Amino acid sequence: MASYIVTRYIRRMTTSPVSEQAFFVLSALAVTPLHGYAILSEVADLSEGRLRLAVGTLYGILDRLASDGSIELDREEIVDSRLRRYYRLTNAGQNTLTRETARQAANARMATARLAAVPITPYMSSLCHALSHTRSPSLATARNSS
Amino acid sequence: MTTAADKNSGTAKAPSTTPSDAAGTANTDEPPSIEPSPLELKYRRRLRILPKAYRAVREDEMVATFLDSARDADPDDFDLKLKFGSPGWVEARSVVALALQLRWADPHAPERYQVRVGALRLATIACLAAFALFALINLPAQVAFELGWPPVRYDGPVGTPISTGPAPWYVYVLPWAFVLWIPTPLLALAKSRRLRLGAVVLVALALLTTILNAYPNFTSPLRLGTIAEVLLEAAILLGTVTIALSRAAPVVRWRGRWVIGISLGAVVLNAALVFAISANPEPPGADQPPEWWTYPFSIFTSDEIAMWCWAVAVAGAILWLRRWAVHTTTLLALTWLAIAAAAMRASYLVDYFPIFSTISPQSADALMVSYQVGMLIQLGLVVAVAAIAAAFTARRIHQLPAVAYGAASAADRANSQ
Repeated sequence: MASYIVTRYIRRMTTSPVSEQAFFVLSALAVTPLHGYAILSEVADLSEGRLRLAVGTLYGILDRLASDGSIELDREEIVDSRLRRYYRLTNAGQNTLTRETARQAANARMATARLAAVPITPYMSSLCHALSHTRSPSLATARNSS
Repeated sequence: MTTAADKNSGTAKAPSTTPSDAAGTANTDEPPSIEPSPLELKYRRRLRILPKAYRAVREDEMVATFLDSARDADPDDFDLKLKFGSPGWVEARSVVALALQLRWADPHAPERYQVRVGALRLATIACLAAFALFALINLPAQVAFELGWPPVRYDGPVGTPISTGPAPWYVYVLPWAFVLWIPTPLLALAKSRRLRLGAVVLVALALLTTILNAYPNFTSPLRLGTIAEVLLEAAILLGTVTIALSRAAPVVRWRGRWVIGISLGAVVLNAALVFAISANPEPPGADQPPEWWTYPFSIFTSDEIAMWCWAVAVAGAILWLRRWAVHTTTLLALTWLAIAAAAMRASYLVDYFPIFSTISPQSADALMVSYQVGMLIQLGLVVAVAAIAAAFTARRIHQLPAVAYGAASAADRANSQ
């Protein structure tokens, strides 16, 4: 049973890309240990409101990341008579986040280069204008330079 | 925008947090002193679908997270929401998904759940393989029937009269629906998730055709056999969905190959005997009684459920000879298969009993008696296999460690395995 799990699940999980939700959770925990609600808020902020995790979804992700060894329990507190558990990123989690960030950055560079060779459309123009006012100016820069 | 540190300390969106709380004073032994609000109680009720051991660890934490996010979503009317609000469908859906994931899709789940998941996968693969084999056996007969080559097809003592004349298109298509099963076991074992989802689509279509085939029966009293068949195929569909949605494809252990081979061999032998009987020029219901030597062979009835019964019986005999030196997962899968086969056989017996009683005793009395005896023998064998396998499985599962979870101890569980 153990060898089955290792070969069919764990090895695949360590080599497969992290889901977008897990990526944001790892990013949220990169700075400081957070509890459940703080992770939800941080993920919503980091994704600019695009990703709002439900509580059940969050704890499914936390379980998976804990199984991977990407996060671990930092401490427990009682706030307003309610239990809060804080989770922190482990070294393995940092490595996973770094690897995934590099992979996504490489993908973004590739797509940007491909788009730069495409004739500009009104939609792309508006998109580039919008992007130039956000924190991802690479596409806009690429379009303007072309 | 608030920073993570603000939220982490509980000062940004949790104004009631005390300074000592924000400082991170750990006090996990303190019992909750606030009366739970109706909203909290409703959310706790939603969480009841989670495993009990998981709730023992996570429930309070999840409730706190849910209430904090509810307050964040509507801070002005939060007091009103506490009294009259209820968890939204998004939250409910996420809890249902979490419950399914914990019980059926968590690779690091407690061993009892892993046994259940493994048994579901094994039973599903066995069912898909059996249905595919039945379809392969039936394919030449169906082709021969369509080509008007009559001696090959044999429907047993209770044959269906062939109608002639114009018929709707589906009358010509539905008899071929069984071929949908043929590729399903290979697709379900594929490494590609897309191919495994293909197996789900085919099984769903097969289930749909079974329901459509049964539709004329809905006007008359519904046959128990039809209900049992639809339920079984629905269970197979659920098992296939579980296989398709899991991260990795199921693995067929080579060690068990001979068990599967002998079981399928019994099915093929049964089919061969049925075809041998079909060569007998005296079908049931004819004026002349059948030859005496056909009586013992009538135990091997032609329907697929009979084949399945024999396969389960043979598998049970093999496991018995091996003194149950098999994994609990295999035992549990065999238990489920035996229960399914017994239910199917029993439902068919109930359905066909009135038909048996109307057949002319001058022509086929002896054959009918032996046919019913054969069905009863199959039912008894499968029930015995189910009972013995269930008893051993229950004992084995009882010996497994109790289901337990830790706050972030999944890694520990994974390491311990």
